[in-house]
Amino acid sequence: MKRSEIIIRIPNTMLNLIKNDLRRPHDFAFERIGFIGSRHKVLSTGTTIIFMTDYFPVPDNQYINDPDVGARINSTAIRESLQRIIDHKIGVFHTHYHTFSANSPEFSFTDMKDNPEIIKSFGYADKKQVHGMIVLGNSEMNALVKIPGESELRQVTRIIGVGYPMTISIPAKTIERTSKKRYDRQSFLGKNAQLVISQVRVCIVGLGGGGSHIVQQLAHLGIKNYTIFDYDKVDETNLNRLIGAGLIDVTNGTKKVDVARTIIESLHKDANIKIVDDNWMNTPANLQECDVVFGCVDSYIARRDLESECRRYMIPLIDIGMDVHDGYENEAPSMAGQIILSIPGEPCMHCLGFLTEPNLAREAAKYGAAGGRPQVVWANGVLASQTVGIFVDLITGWSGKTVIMPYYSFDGNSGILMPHPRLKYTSNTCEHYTLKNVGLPVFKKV
Amino acid sequence: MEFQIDQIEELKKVHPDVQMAEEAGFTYFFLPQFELPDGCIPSKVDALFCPMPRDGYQSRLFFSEIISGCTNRNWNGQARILDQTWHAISWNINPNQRLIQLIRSHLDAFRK
Repeated sequence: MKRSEIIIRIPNTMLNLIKNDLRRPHDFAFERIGFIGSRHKVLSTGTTIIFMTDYFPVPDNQYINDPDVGARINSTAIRESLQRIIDHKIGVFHTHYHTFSANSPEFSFTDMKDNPEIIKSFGYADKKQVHGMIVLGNSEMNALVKIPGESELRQVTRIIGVGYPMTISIPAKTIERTSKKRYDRQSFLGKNAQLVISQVRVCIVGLGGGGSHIVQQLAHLGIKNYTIFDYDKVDETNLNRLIGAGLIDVTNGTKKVDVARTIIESLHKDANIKIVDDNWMNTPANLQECDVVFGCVDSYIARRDLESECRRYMIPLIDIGMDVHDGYENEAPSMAGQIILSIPGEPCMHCLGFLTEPNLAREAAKYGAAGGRPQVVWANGVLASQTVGIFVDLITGWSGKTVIMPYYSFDGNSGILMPHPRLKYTSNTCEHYTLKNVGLPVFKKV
Repeated sequence: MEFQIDQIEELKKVHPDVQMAEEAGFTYFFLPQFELPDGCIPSKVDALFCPMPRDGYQSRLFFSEIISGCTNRNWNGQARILDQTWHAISWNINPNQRLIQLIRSHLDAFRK
């Protein structure tokens, strides 16, 4: 039986802070140790998501001079961690940094001898929390965790550094062989890029004009793990833009999720596809376990809800949309669109001025009177292609860019896709969703 | 968002288990096992009160499930808030009331 997945999510900003601390030289220790505070949620799908939210460096005077090991800490350091577990009801991870590790770092003999005992003692402080040990490498990470109710430490499935680009670590034991020849032409994306592409789980909410293009491109790219949401069936008005749909699908009333599945399976017989022909809000766990979400929805309110969920679960969201507006008097209609990359910790759709209370209110007032809105295949194609390009850079970092371009606007009349002018006036931080506000919500007694 | 202490105390008298949380710049009051007017099915549900303007409404009362057995209403608001799916009706009330009165006014929609 396949074991349930364990996914760690940690903001890149915190990861950098931890690495900077652990890199500092110590008077006598060869390396440094720290502790990471975490919270977790076991989803109804069985997947455990661990959110790393706090970092506690070990003060210099809590190290013991032991030349036989890289670093040894005293009982005060452990006791303080135990106290944090009790006081804050958090999980705690022992961490250190293998600066010499080029690829996936492995735990050393000493790590495996000493650290499991520390993790075990954390479990005595609070057995309901997930505790563990995580070793950081220069580009990847490795972690073992103690899941409540289980006796052995377990290897995590994926460790996701959330930021731009993401740092996605896939512990060696889960590596699958991918055909080298098939992806030869995209090998410039990086040494581990195809492995990451084949292992990440993507979620696509909405499989209409935009979503169907995205599915097709992701399948060609080599994505194998999908969660797709759409409760609609193909009708005749979809045929001008819905990739993969034909006349027979109108006759048969094929579900849009099944059109998407056919596209994916034509390229990957071994694809792992979770099909949900329902609103994502009715089975949110299916979305929460994904590594990146594509929002292909058609209302401001739906975008607001999707972003809110993605922020709470520390998941990057890429939103796309297009619209056609009537022209003034004798002018041609104007076609416009947008792509928004919403990364936890970075500006959100409210910060970017895309979601505002007036536009949400206007939309709510028109509820039920929307009707069929104009959509065309080529504009959806332009936006979807750029979206997939953003996604590939996000998960592989192939371009070397570290600065996010979170908001693109598309002028469909001139065919120009460019950074949105509003970006000039947008702060780099988000005041609507904080990185502390992740996982289970915290309610305060009034 | 700040609230006057006397209004909070008034709310606590009626809903002693009330809790607060914030998300996306909104403040919410969580009202567990909130008692609904006579005839409503179920008679008690978890409720979430947003006392601030949201989606064109001056304030909004969300429920953990759609309520039946009372006056039929337009359930136009399904939303994910604070890790839960909530439901709300289209119902606008006078915003110039005390906290507890705002909640009561929302409940008027369900009275026969």
